[in-house]
Amino acid sequence: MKNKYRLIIVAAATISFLLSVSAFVFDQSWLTKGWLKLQIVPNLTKIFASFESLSIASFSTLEAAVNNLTLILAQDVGVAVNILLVMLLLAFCCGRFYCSVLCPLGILQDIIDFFSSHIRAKENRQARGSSKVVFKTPLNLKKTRYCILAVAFITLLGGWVVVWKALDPYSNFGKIVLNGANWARLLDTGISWTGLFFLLALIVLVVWKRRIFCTAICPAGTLLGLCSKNGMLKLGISEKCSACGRCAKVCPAKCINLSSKAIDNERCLRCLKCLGMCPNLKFLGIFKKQFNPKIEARFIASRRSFIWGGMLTLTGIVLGRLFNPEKQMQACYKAAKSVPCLTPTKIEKAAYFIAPPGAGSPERFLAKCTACQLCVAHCVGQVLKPAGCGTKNKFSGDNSSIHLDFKNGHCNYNCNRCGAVCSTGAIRQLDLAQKKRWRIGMANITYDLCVTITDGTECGACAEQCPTGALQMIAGTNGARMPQLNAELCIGCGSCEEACPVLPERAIIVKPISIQVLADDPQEFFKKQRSGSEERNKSKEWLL
Amino acid sequence: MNRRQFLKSMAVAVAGTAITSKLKVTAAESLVQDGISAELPDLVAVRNGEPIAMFRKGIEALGGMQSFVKPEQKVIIKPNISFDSAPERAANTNPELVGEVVRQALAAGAKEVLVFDHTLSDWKTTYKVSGTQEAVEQAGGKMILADEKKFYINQKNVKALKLQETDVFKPLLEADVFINLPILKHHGGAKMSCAIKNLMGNVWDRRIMHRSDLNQCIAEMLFYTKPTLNIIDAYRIMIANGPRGVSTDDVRLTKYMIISTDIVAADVAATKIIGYELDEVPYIKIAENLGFGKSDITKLNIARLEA
Repeated sequence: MKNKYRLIIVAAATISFLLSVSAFVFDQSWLTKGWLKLQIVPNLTKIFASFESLSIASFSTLEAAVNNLTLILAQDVGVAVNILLVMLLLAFCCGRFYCSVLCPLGILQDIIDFFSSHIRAKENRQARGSSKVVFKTPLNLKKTRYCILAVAFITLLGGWVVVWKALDPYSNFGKIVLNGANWARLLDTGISWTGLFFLLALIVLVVWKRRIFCTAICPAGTLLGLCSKNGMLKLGISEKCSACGRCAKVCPAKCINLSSKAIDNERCLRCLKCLGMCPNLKFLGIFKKQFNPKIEARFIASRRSFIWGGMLTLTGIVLGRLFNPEKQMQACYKAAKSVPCLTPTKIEKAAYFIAPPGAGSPERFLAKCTACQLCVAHCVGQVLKPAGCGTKNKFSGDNSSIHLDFKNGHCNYNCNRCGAVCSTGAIRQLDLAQKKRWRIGMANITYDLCVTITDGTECGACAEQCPTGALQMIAGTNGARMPQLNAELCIGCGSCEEACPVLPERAIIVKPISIQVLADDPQEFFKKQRSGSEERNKSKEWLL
Repeated sequence: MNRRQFLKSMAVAVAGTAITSKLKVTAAESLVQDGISAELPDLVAVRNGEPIAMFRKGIEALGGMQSFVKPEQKVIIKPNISFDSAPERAANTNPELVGEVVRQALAAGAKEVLVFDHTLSDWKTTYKVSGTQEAVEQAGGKMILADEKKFYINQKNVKALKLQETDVFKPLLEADVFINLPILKHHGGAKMSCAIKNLMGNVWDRRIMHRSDLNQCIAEMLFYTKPTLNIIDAYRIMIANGPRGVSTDDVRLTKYMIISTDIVAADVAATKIIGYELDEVPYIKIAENLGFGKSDITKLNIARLEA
């Protein structure tokens, strides 16, 4: 490769891509808690997720559960703000290097582009064959990307990450990696198809217009573009340019306009493929302007596009304000004015899947999670399942989000990994002592199915696994001891559901709850119960 | 001292039991002091010492580890390490003790010593948090994985009533010596978890055992895996909320250890330490009826030692 700048970019991008992939496959905290923290969107959503602590705290019923969390969250948010500011500052100083070196989805597109290049090579040969080379002014699609960014921010202000969930490059990369890792059998979390669909769409886009996703759709890219638009260090073309078009041909962002001899630094992804091809194309000095800064572009600034943009923005406001699942939940609690998790009718009405510990509630999780699947990849008990995956039970009909499934595993008692790896703020990090009392669901025994009732034989598989002692075997009606649930101690970890030998429908299953709260402290509970128990080693006589 | 003399002194001991338990202890102690090693005891009970000290004392009374482990043999040890909790919680066999058993097995000339359990919590954390991994590796043994179905092979036994087939841990079947190293604790489903109950960790599918008469299935485990030696760790015992336990409040310091080749007798001795009636733990009686040992320990030659 002649272009030494490009060589550096390719080397850095390769290392970066491998690190990002391995963060999903290997259990290394410097990857999950370090490397991936450089991604823009998770930091952004985390900052916005911190706003909620203000609104939730105003609900007296949730205070007990949430108070401790806001402090933990505050520390993390500081880091997120700093990282985000540094990234935006870097974009201002030298352009969107993030898109070429750090963004895993951007690098993935470059890889796809590399393989699809022979298709274009054919096109180029045909173009060379013709006598006159005509370079069309590339599409700018300014309105499209600004509208997407506007809707994304407005919904985010309303507390809903929906646009970011769909278009965030990092989260979509995560979906693709998780699906890939599952197929390669590096991970075993169950197959979901979202990653594959996104990958197919991405391949179509790349083959069609190379990195058009980054320049026209990606909200993070648009944000960085706004910073680099009038940045310090720009790429530019000198007046001597003969418009041979070699640079425009290699540019995957299509940001070189040969008719005006200008480079759109807003869209330039800093892949540096063009650099070194021609002495007329180079980095200008600090704050030097291009000789012709006017970027003529083929976008139609008509009334129609204005109305279209306005409609989109309005939709964003409506979606963010009215249909945000979390807002609906808060309205529900305002009406209930009590902790709803202990009233069974409320459970069945409001909650429909089990959210990871620290998510707050299923609704909040739906509103905050961008579905990057990092928690799914790192779940020790392998109970966190991607959306649309896993078997349904009669209580959790909906699994349109990342959710817990206790059919083949349980939420590990000594583990708070999902909260630790989550960089979007959707799963708040609980310390281990808190996590051990953090109720995410509620066990429910169907005695008509239980072995101790139907067969009259001893079982106790559920009580055996219960980490909090919520399940105890008591004298039964049918000769064998039967399980009894102390709801105050149950944290809904699913150990009992996993262990229950009654199949296919288990005699004990964990029902989702509408809000996560702290359960009673089991140590305190049993201490009270067993204050006067005797020491067994007091006597000098042999016990046998 | 020949057998007749021994029986005579045994009769004295039994008579002693009938009078007072205080006398019983003295009689037993006098037996020990007399040095009845002409015939090895059926069951050794040691108390009031640290786990390692108690084990050394106990195994010595049974003729040392070399009477169970011959040179170049492959030894497999099955401690109870089901849960990811620390040794103080007494959910898992004392790691120091596991380490010591490994050391002694190696000293007796074992070719290799493997340690495993089919853990209930995630195996990686459990091996680590329980302290077993560290202790075993320091002692020169090897912790092996038992968390995937591929490590198990299907076995059938027509004599069994309920558990007619099951998938048994393969390295266990390949080993020459199988040392059962349970911890004594309360158990929600089976009332008590000790030597026989510990064998449930040798198979892949435990769900089916819970489904089809747990007590019968626990006893029938002995058709598939019969330990060469049983060492019961009753240094700390869990008296409630077992087998997992909620906190150290569930744990009592008893400082006992039982060593026996008779798994039924060992479990009966364990019921006495934890304070249960034999009827409360039905699988012991079932195992006896299947011919795996004797539950009437008063008829056995028990050595009671102070560590």
